[in-house]
Amino acid sequence: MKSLLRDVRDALYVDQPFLDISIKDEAVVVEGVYLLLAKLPAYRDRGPLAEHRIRIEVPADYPLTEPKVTMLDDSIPKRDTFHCSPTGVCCITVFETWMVTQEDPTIGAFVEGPLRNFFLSQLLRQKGEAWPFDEWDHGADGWIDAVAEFMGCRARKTEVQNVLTQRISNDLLDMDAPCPCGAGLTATQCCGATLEKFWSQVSPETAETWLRRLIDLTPMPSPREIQKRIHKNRPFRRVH
Amino acid sequence: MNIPKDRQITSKEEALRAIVREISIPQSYDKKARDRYHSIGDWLDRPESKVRALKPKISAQGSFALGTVIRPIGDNDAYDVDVVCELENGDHNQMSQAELKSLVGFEIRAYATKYHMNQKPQDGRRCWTMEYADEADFHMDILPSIPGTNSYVASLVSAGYNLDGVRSYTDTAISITDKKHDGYHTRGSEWLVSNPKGYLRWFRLRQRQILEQKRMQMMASGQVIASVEHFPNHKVQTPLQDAIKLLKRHRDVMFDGDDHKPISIIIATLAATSYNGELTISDTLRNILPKMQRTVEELGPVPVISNPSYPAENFADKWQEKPIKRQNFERWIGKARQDILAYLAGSRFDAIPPAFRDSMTNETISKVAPMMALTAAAVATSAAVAAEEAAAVHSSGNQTKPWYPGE
Repeated sequence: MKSLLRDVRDALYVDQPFLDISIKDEAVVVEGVYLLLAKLPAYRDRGPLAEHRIRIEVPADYPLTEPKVTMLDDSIPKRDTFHCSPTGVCCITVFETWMVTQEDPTIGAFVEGPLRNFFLSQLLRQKGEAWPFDEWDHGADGWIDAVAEFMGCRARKTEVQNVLTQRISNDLLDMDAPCPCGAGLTATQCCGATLEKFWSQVSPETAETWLRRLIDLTPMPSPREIQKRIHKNRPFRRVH
Repeated sequence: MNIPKDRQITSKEEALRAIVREISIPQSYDKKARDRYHSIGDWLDRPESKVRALKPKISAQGSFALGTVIRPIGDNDAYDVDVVCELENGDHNQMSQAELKSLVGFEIRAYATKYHMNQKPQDGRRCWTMEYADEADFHMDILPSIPGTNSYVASLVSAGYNLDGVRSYTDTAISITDKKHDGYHTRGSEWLVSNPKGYLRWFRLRQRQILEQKRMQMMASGQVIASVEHFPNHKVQTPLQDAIKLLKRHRDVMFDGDDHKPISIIIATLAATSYNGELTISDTLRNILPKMQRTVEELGPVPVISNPSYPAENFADKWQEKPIKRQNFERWIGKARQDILAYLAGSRFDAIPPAFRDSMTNETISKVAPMMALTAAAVATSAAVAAEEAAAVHSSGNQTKPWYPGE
């Protein structure tokens, strides 16, 4: 906890003088005014581009668990279209895929990367511009899109689930075996090239965490819900 | 007010430089202080002087030597000028500390009489103190000393230090007088050791890169300086010196009149240790502030901030006896970070925030503020700037997309 506290302080020390840091309930809690700073030399002396009152809860097991960012003011609309829940929780990014692509996913990298990108995007969005870095679809679909893009396979739940399950049980990727995505071709003919990278970046333990997340995000529907969906898709077919 | 274009401030760095100019000792005062101690040096070396045979040499130490002198904040406060008077032929077997002190004191008193000084020189614990009161008040501490290489080596060896790291500092060590020292009246006893010239050398070497550049510039304009080690600190202005001046001003405002305020030598030592060759004042502050705070927080229950040129000397030796000194230092460095970075990170260059304004004094800022001019970059709309910033993130490949997990 002490080293996490130090990392958080190092990350915020110079550029964020108005954020206070404390330890609460097994997390490092950062609270105060976040300054969205310009980095281009021409604009550095311009002062902050925007200011937001926020709270960041950095869990003790960071980076295994993502930090939770909550708005404490109304400087961005608390609506899903702004990636902010009615309770003010900010949906910064798909943390899992960001984390594994970082050489050193320190809290400093998170603040300088996804957190800054989020508020930079908000600024442009509020001025009526499009999301400058695009956005993921809401809910499970967006998460599957992000992970599938990272894996290099198609954005289907079954394929993502297959790859994760294979990664949990196989230390090595056999390029001549059927592709882990389950499409039927060999890995060489299918997603093998990108999955090789995935195999090296994502450990079996991480794959297991991701699989749990996938299951959490896509709960199994009840038989009645399945019935409803079938009916919705084929409304004129009689169900016997 | 119309400010000529070349004096207009268009960035934070220029604003910091202007503030440093305001808080620095005026050049005429600086010259006056140096003239005064050189005049004492000439007096000690005159033919009738009792110490002439011992080859007296006068040199500055402390902030006058480091080039970090700032104006006092109170109207009645004086500049402290610390001077070393080294008798190069002095020998601790031939004279006691008390004899050296009174020998130098005799001449200093004669000097004061000759020049009709209002106050007699005061016989302090280690120094002779002279008060100059005219348009620039000076408070000059003259430290009598003799060469101390042998004592320097002996004291380090007996305290168990490895000499490898300090060999280049041995030649400049001096032995000093101290009334509270056991052997004050005894010839041949070991004396206390100090090494102001060694410290100065260390301070210069911490800025080797930038001083080398300045040396080349000065050489090009016809001034010969043999090496960085011979650089007269007061003749250059480096980002480290400027950052130290800003920190000292912040300290002076925060602890006006408090005896337990953080001492300048600790500020200078920690700042120079943390310095990494930054070329601007703001980069220097952004680098040294976190490192200084961490160094102080990581000190153990017995705090040690060693003199880099004489490791047996602990600049924080009074912190254990007076914990308030340590608490004050920690409080100060935290507040300095907040106040200074409130400007560097949290404000436009032309909008000095109240915390920073107060810490540099309103009077100083009110002289600098009118020189600030808005530039095209400063008035660009935030959306246009944000778009450019976003493009920069794109080209660095670090873009991330927001995602809403749903309720």
